[in-house]
Amino acid sequence: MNKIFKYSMMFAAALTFTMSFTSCDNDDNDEHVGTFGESTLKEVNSSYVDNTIVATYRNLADYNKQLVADINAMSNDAGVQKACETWKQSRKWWEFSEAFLFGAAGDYALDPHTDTWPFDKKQFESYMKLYKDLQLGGEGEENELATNNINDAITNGQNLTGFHAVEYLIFRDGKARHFADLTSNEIYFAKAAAQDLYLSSLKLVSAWGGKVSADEQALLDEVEFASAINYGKNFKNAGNAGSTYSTVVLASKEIIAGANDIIGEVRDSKIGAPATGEDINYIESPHARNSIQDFYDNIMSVKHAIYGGCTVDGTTPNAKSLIGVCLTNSKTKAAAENVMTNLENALSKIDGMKKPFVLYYSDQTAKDAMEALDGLEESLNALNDLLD
Amino acid sequence: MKHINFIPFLLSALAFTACSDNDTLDTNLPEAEYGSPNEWYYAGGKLGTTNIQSAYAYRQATAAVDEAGLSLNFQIGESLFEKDYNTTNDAFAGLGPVYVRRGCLYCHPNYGHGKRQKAYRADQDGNGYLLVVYDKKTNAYIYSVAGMPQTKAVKPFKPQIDESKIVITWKDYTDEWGNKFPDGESYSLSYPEVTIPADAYYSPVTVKRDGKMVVIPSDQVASEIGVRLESTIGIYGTGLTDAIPDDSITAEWKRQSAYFNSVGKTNALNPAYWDQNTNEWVSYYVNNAGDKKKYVRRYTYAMSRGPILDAAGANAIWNITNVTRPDRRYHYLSLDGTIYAKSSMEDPDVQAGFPEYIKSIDPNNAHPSWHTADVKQNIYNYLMAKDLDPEMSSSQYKNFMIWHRGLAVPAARNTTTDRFKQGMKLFKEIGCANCHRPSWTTGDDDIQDPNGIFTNSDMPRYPHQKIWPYTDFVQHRLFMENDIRTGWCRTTPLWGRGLSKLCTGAEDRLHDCRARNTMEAIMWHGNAKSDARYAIEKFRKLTKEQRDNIIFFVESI
Repeated sequence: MNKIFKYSMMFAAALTFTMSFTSCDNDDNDEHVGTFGESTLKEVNSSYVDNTIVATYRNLADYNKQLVADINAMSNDAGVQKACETWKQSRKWWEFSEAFLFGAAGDYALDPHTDTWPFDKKQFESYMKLYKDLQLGGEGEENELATNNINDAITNGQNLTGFHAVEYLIFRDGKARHFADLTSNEIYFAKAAAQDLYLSSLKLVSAWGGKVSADEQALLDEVEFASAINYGKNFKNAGNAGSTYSTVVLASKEIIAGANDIIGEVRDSKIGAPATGEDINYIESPHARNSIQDFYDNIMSVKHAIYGGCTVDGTTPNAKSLIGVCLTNSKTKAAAENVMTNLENALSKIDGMKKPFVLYYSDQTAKDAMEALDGLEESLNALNDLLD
Repeated sequence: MKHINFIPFLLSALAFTACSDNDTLDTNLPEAEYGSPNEWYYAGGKLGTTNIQSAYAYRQATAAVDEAGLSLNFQIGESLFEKDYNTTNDAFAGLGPVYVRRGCLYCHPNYGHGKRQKAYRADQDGNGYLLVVYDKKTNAYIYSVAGMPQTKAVKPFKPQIDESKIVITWKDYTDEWGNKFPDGESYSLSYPEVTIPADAYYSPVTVKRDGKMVVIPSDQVASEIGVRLESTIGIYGTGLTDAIPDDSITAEWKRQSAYFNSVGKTNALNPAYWDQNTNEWVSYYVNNAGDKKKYVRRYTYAMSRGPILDAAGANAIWNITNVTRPDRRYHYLSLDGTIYAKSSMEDPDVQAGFPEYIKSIDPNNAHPSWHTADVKQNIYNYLMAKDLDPEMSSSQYKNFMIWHRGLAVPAARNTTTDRFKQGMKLFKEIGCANCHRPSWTTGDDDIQDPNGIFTNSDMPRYPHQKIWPYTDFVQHRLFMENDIRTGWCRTTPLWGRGLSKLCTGAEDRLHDCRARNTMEAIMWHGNAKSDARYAIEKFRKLTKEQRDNIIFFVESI
């Protein structure tokens, strides 16, 4: 959610009626000339789809594929360590995607499926106990039945799947587990959960119109996944018949809405709930002790969304990004610069949080980060109001 | 802020007179009768509307949330809605022993309406269906499953219904006009038929007839027991409709009662709730475990609920997951109260697994009656307990309800266009607005909580707002094929639904998602006996452009 829209709401109404007065415009189509020409924002939207969303999901899928390979190859402590490193990389790309959880991630519930938390340890242990005398992934009727049950639990039971399932299997107290401590059934579970993660990321790539290999397409075909909507095409086609976005600027504003959604979640739920004492149980990634990195990467996701691309880590936005074009327009330049200042401040404050969060969630640095995120959201709201 | 409010008002008046993008459209809408574009835009009033019209439109907080200083509470409440519940002792704990869903999003995909399903699977995202299992002879729910039957369970317990045996068949339907308008435009209609075989039920199928419990023999279940589907609707804006005074809703029922009496239609209002002879309620919403006051019914298809703080959401966050809280320290089980517990205590599998289960639930033996030497009795005692440990804290519950009451309504789109205006004019002229009443005005919005938990200072409030939900809060009948149980259905609010495809990826409408788009939803109103028959006959006589403009309007509000 976004905290403050009371002012922007009224601005929006004012703008709507201004347009009506001056141009007799029908906001069902997109003929108006607003702050930017239509082609400018179309380029922004197109680049956002290709270079940020699809590129991020493609990276996520590639790392998930590597995670599957690493877990399959685990045979000693170094192997588990390698899988843990890949998990962190893959996790990073997931967090990089959280500024655009609309579309396929929500419509196909791939977000909750990938990021379900917490992992249901009790149910997991119950399965491990139930099948302790069987070999998951092994041959024979009993083994196959058990394997099918586990596969079904991972595929359909959302508390036993996703990043936090794999995390629980290969991490303890922030470190890689010893290979000797992992049972063969736990390793099977980790493999199956990682494979499911990979499949989910392929669905995201495919649904947004990204390329998948023939082998990957075969995996999607196996589960009969074919998105009813090409989300990338739909977004780029904003303002035209058939798109769910009635105007080009509405799609551009989606970039900000997605960013604000994750900013609010990081500020109020992920950091705020424990930091304010409202709900101290709410601390994600406790086993990998990766929480603060997750927060940082979430805000990096915002940076990618508004600066363009998916690897930008400097202070210069891409020319065809939302901030890039706003910097070139006198009406939006100051607001864009304000966003940039607040963005860097938010990243800096999160980076400065006392680690690990699971131990220091009530530290003043957490509250400082919340305040910085508040400023970032406010600055994006102000920019949003200037887009028409 | 006042300055900003004033600008759209002035400009809207100018726009109203200056703009006409299509001279062939009849868009003369007297403001006294229709309101103004400025009002239409603020579907949830100034305090309850969000200008976000993107995929995030359904999940925004109202301005009232921020003004009350409840933004953090709202966001934490949101996480209680968005996360799955589980069986650990960590966050979001307490799932089971039997449950309808693990979390809220399964039924409320991206906060919107449920999506049409080919099979009933509780773990299927977008499956907003609740099973309505009823006795065909009495139309009452069966007593051996919960009112919202639970198809999932935490081991060793077993589901009340084996969902793998539930069959949903979609059947094509052809209306009396051959699914075609006079100008040749056609549409498709289909509806679900649901069957649950006798062997899918965990407990003997039991109904209540003439005050006595009756077990239905297996070979009669198919003929005696009916099954229907009821889908969720969007949850945004329910805080605003909660702010409508009881008296206003009563006045609407009185108005309609008088009208129907005047045209000789003396059975037009549900006699279970309203007496058309005396023009009075015959049934109110009363919480007998709470303040015992009489409240006007306003929520759910069946109008089974009164104030929002004791309505579907307050109930669902407990009984969908079976997560207990301080004011609900008991399980949601079979409707009669004991049948499921009795079946479980006699089940050898449950007996075998219960000691380990209860050890994890109550490791310190805080409830001795669950740990006696008699396992059967322990199972019964646990399932029937009224002193379960709360799994959701009162603070979490409060945050959840702040979030619930704080969800904003998306602003209406296209309000200055001629198409919108003509659509609105026709919507009223052909009679749609008789039931889909456009606007209401909220009252002082003093918080009504039959449970006595929340007061004015706890919640976002919406006093004196003109809102546009497009419902009359009255039940009507459409006489559809395989209709909703009892046939009576509250007029569903239309606000925000035009954003459904963008927000959820689907735009299914009506109580069982039988309509895949707005046109299908309209045409399902057309049965010869339907209360909306008159409007559909008029709709059929419109030109295609006029029909399209009504749809454009409905998808813009």
